[in-house]
Amino acid sequence: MKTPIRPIRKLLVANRGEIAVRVILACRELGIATVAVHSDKDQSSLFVAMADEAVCIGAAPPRESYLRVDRILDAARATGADAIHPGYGFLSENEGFGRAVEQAGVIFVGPKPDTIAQMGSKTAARMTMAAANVPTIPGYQGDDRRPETLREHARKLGYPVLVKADLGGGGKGMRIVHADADMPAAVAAASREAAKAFGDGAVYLEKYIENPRHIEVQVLGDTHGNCVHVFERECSLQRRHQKVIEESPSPSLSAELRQRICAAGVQAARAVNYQGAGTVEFIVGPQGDFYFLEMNTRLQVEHPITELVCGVDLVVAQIKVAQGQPLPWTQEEIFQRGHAIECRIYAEDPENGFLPSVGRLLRYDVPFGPGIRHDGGFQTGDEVSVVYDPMLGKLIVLGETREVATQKMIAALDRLVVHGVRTNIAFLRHLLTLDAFRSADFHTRWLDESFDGWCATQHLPDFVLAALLLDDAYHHRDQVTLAAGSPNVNKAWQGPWVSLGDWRGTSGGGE
Amino acid sequence: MKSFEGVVTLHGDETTVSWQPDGGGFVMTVGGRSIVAQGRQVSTGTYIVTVPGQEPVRVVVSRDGQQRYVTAGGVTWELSLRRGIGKARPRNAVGDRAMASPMPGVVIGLDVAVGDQVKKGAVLMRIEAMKMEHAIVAPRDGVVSALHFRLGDPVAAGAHLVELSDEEAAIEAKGPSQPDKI
Repeated sequence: MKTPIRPIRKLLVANRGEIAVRVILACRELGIATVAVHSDKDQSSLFVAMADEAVCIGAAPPRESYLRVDRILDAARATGADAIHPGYGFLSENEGFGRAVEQAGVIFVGPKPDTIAQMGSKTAARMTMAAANVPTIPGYQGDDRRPETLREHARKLGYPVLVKADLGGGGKGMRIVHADADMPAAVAAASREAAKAFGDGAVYLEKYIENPRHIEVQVLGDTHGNCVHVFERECSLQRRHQKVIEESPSPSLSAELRQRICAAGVQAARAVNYQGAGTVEFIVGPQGDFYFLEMNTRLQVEHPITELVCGVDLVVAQIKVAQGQPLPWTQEEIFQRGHAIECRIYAEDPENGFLPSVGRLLRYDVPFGPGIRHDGGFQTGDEVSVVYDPMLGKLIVLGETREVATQKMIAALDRLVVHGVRTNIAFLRHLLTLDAFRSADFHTRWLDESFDGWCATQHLPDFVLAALLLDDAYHHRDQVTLAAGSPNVNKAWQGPWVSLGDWRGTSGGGE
Repeated sequence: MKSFEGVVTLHGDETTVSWQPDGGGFVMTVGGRSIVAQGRQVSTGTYIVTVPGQEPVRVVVSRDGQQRYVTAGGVTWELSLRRGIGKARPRNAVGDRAMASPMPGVVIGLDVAVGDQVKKGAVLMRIEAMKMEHAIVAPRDGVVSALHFRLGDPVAAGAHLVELSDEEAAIEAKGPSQPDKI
């Protein structure tokens, strides 16, 4: 079914931070006016400053602002926005929001609400995919859950096997079983735990993939029946299920496996008649066996690596598809060139259990240069608060090879200076220098298993101390010069010490 | 020649430093060593610093009161600089790092025993190095579950000295190993 072209003139971004900035930039290129909606805490944020119009929709907690469908729609009406881009997170995968937007006669930049619903339930999504011949993790979820039956099925699946609670979550009611003899005790324990936590002791089985890798396929469909993949992203470097470094192409796929996994991505998207940008996540076993994990019906945080390595603009493509236009490219026109890496810059303290770090940004210097991209939502002076995601921004590089891209990223991280909060920058840099990264020999649990007690700043190097004292001298020279009311240009290049005077007396050391 | 003194704190570890101008650069004295340093400012807060035996390093410094952020080569040190050598204000205990030895030294005092219940701020152990005494204080309320050194033992910088557990955590830690026996 062909849909008529509905040109978007004004687009409201129902999100905040770096992704709101990203969408606004795409709109500017397309000549589309933008509306930012924001909480009162985000009043002076970069994305609000960049939008043509801004509407405050409530207090800082997301449920009072960024999750308020009614207020977002009110803002769309008040500003005359004819489209809404949900970004990622918040309401981006909320079918009710998609429907409400469409009912208001506004274009939702995303898939059909039915598709969001279809992919929203993990178990239902896997059944849909299994029916469409997309490989899913083998398991047993039949009606007969007697321990003997489960044990029989576990043998058929082959150990290790994962025992999971039907109503599970957060690892509760979950057991990894490596040997047949351990099966009865594991089932009993998981069932007990599940009954206690969820009021239902039902457990099912899944084949456990050891040392899995997380590979996802970017897909894009339009309203004209076209559907393409934009290749894959390797997202195995995660900490507590939060991605840390992503890259494309995946260093762990052969050309043949890449073709098969990307084709499976398109197959999955076609199975739900997917419209817009989406991501099909797979887990890949050590033998190259891969299984559908879930589909994200939105733009991904890590979309820039695909954009750099394939030379496309996914947000512009999303908007074109939402206007009813056909995809900007055919499958044959899309290819990977070079290697892209993304590092997520988090306000957290890797030296202290990765606890979130908050405060005011005293300095936020972004590197630039050939092949370097920074997607961010913060600038010097901004406050980083606990209310929102701890991600400050993303540093993305493109190099001819993986090795070149790695070196480029290290050099770029060296020039990314964030002061005022603690960040994971040194940790990211450290990871990039490790043999395990260089040889791409890692899996999704590596970071959780290997970096307890990591510390980069244990010692105080002489040059750090020297810089500290030098800075202090310059600072006081400036103060003394200012106090004297006679700035002397010559003194600047003579260094800070010449004009120091008795600064101890002037400022008394009490700051 | 004018000379200055101050105290630099990193991870709760205080270092006394003195420094004085020397030609175009300066000499800093820390831990009995004298280091001749050179440096120039290239833009606000950004310096190229040279210390003996090393290539020049580009360093970025930000300040917020006594607080300093110093970045070089992708690593950021969070320190404080207090000019003059006065009495330090009692420092805030920050997590378990507070129970690591801030410097190489010798255990000169054990103020608690295993099993003792302690309040946040209680002195657990005392370390001496370079004729300076450092108290290791409890970063939170808890129970002393292990002492890793005895009186007179030498300790390395960063060595973990004391284990502190809160009772709830201790009970929780026993939990997972037992449910199969219930």
